[in-house]
Formats: sequence, structure tokens, C-alpha cells
Amino acid sequence: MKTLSSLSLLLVLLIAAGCSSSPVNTIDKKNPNATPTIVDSRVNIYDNNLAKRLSLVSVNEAQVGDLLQVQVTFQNVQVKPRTFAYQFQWVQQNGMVVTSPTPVWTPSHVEGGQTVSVSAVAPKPSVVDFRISLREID
Amino acid sequence: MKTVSLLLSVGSLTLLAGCGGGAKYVDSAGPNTIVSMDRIDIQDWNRAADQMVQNLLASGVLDRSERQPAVLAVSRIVNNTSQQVDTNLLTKKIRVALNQSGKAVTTTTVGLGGTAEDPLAKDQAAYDSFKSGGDGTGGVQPGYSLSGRLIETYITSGSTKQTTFSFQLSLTEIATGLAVWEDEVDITKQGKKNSVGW
Repeated sequence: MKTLSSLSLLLVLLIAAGCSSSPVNTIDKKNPNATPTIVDSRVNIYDNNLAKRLSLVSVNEAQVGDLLQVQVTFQNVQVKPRTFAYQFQWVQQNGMVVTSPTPVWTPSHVEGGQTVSVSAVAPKPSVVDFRISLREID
Repeated sequence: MKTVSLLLSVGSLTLLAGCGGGAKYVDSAGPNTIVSMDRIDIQDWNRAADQMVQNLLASGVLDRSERQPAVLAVSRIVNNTSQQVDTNLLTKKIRVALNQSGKAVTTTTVGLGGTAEDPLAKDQAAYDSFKSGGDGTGGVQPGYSLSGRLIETYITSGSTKQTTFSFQLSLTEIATGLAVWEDEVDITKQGKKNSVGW
């Protein structure tokens, strides 16, 4: 029985090792030239595990012509790689959410320690605000 | 030990019941959709269209059109995948999104090989043009043409399969014949068999 347990444990460890990938180290400029327009944001957390794994770094916005462009940057603060999906929603001046013809949850993979940015352009010029939803999918 | 087994069995049955085969509605773009290994799923079409619309809007190409909103015609979308697909699943989503953005409208009276998506509108436009002393063509001529290609790449390793669907689109300025915007979106799926949810 003990041998069986040991073998099972070994098998699980081997499978886990085979499926895992190394975390990444990141190098960037100490004094970056980019001057993003950082947006104050608030976060509603219902998945504490996801919040512990994926830390919000920044939210910034820009204008592309007359359209709002938003970029949200996260960092996987753990060693294990994670896959999550995100979805943007767009809000007009009157508070109404824009119905998208292509509503989509977009999957994104982030290695351990890696910082990723997801961005999107508003579907119409009347959009003034946004919200982004996140969910872990593995 | 017996109690544990019993609890496990009950737990498994409960789980199975929860995932039962009864039909239900799911979000077409959400993570509860079926992921197939050898087909372009509805969430793949949505994702490709969404990404391409985002990139096209962000490029600002449509803002530089002389005519506002820009007028597009849909040209040939070549399907080089192993499955028979209606490429409208991609182009219609893009058209709707561009139309809603106010940046572009699509002509339905100009089509590949002289065929029109809306023959009645084409005939009526031609009639109106002829009646008013025009050349009988009628309608607004498109400034841009949208063409593209769908490609499938398939590979296996042991029993694991991997399929990549590449969605390629080009927007050609008709006056110059130049592709003023191009994009490619790859969607890769890996696994042994289809699954419910991702």
C-alpha cells in the first residue's frame, strides 16, 4: 500500500513537472520614457485566489482618433503560470453599456512573474468609460 | 473506509448530475462553450473578429478616408481550412462592428464578379441612375475592399493534437490598389479531444 502511494505521488510530481514551465525574469528601463495617462481604478474582488495570483499594476488610457483606448497591466506574482480570460465592457456618457456585436472573453496566458498588458479600443466614439472582468480558466 | 467510498460515490454522482447532458443556453463567447479540436468554434470567430476590429479601429486608417464614413466592399475570403465554413461568420461581425462604430459602411450593391449581396437594391440604383441620365451604375462606389484567407495548420505529438486557425485580412484602398491595413490572428487549440468549457 505504501509503495503504491509513493508511486502515485511520484507520478503526480512527474506529470506536474512535465506540464509546468519556468517563471520569467523581466528587465526594463529604470527610467522609462513613456508617459502613460494613468487612470484611478477600483477593484471588486470575488475570487480571492485570482486576486492573490494576479496583481493589478496599472490602468492607463489614450485616445485613438475619437475612440477611447484602454490598457490594463497585470503581474503574475506567483511562480506558477496562469491562464485567465478577460472581457471589456464599454459605457457611454448616459451610463448605458454598448452592446458589442462580438462580445468576447479573451484568454491570456501569463508565466510566473510575468507582467502582461491587455488593451482594447472602444467600439464607438460615444464611449467614455469602461470596465474589465477577469476570470481564471485553469 | 466504507464511509469515505460512499461519500466519494455520492460526490461523483452529484458532480455528474451537475454536468448532465440537458440542453442549456451558454454565452456564445464565454468559457462554457464547447472547444473542438478540428473546427472553428463560435468563440473563435468572435475572438478573431473582435481582435481585427480593434486593430483596424486603432490603426486610424478609416479616419483617413476622404469619404466619411468609409465605404467598404467585401471581396473574396479564401477558405483553405479542411472544413466548410461560411466566411460571413467573420466578415459580418466585422461589418456590424464597423457600422456601429460609425467609421465605415459596407455596400451591398457591389460584389465580387458583379454579383450583389442585395440584387434588388442594385437593380433599383441602376434604374434610378439611368432615369436621371447617369451611366446606369448607381449607388456609392466603395473606397476600400476587404479580402482575406483562412488557413489551418495541424500537428500531432503522440495522442495530443494541435490545430491553429489563422485568420488573415487585408483592406485595400481601391484607388491605389494598396493594402492600407493588414492583420493576422492565430487561434491555437491543443488537446486530445473536444471539451465542454475552457
